Amino acid sequence: MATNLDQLPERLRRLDEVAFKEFMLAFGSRLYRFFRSLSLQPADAESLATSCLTDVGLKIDQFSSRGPGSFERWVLKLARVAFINEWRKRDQASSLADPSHYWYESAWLGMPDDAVNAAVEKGMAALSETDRDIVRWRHYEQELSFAEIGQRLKMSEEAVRVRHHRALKKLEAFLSEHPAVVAWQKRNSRQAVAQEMANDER
Amino acid sequence: MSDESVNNLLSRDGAGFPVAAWLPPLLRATEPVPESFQAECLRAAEVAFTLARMRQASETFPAAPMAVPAFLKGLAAVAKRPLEPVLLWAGLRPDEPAGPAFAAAWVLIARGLRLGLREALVRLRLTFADEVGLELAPALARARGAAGGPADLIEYESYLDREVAHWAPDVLARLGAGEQAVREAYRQADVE
Repeated sequence: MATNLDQLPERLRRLDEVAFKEFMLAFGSRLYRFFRSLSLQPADAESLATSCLTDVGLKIDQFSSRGPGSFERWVLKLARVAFINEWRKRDQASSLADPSHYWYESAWLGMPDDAVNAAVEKGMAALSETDRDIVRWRHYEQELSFAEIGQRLKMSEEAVRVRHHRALKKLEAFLSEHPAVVAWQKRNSRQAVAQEMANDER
Repeated sequence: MSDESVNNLLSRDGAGFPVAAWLPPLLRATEPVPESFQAECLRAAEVAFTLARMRQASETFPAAPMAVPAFLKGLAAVAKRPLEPVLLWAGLRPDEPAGPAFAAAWVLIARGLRLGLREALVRLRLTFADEVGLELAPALARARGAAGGPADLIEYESYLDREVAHWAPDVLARLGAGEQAVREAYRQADVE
């Protein structure tokens, strides 16, 4: 059964042990992907996500509800602060490209939901094993170059490029007509995000 | 595929890859979460829940002159929670001599318990007092003479201020570094 996010804060406040687990499982993957989308490496994204989860659990008494969705926005706020602090610890000399609240909120709201994740998984499963490896190594955690992938597969760099291109075209053909992906694209347009933010403020 | 079309494709691949612009970001955003991550999330739940329960327990916990390990063990017992996950999370090793690493781990827990800087520092000093073999409760009772009644952490603090002058230089150096780490972590957390 899906967790009712709007009831979670009260249950966490009452120190309901099950609510702590539900919260971590409901938000863990989202926080991980959020930090990955902000260019953190997998191990760092994992570590910052779990640190945020613990932080939310410990600060829950500081949350005050402002209607539906406010808990999620509060979690995002803590995640944003955690990310900025992490960034400063790593490289105090550089500044964030666009540290506006809007930017983080767009990244958060633009994250694919479970239906989109399932669609991509299905599309990936339809590729050959080699093509799947190429796409994974190129776009997932390691982000290898075509030359590095070629070394792994004992293929030329050029051959990897071509297979990669064809694999993406297959994925594009499958996903561009998938209802969940179409809905995600609509949601993800800047206009839709801006509208949602405006609705929240009303 | 002819050589010409492959070259055509390759030449476009670097600068303007002719697949939908939304696809690469989507792939990245749907990257599978590591299998071990779910277990990490459940560990985070256990730590947060235990710390929250210990924080609740601390509201009624007596201000006894306990070193950090004994204090945490006592709180966990009152909260009826296992302490080990919290120690692992913070990286606190109760059996090792206290120093900056111990202090940094202690701060994580102390802040989770919402202890103020002063109490965090006193409990760190109490840990060193324990290490040098100072039996604080009877010593303080003797010092207080007929005043009677239970002492509070502030009394321990002033008593310890006098006692530390007699400690060995290496212990004092570790204590200084530990206290510095605690102050710095609290200052940093306040800034954040």
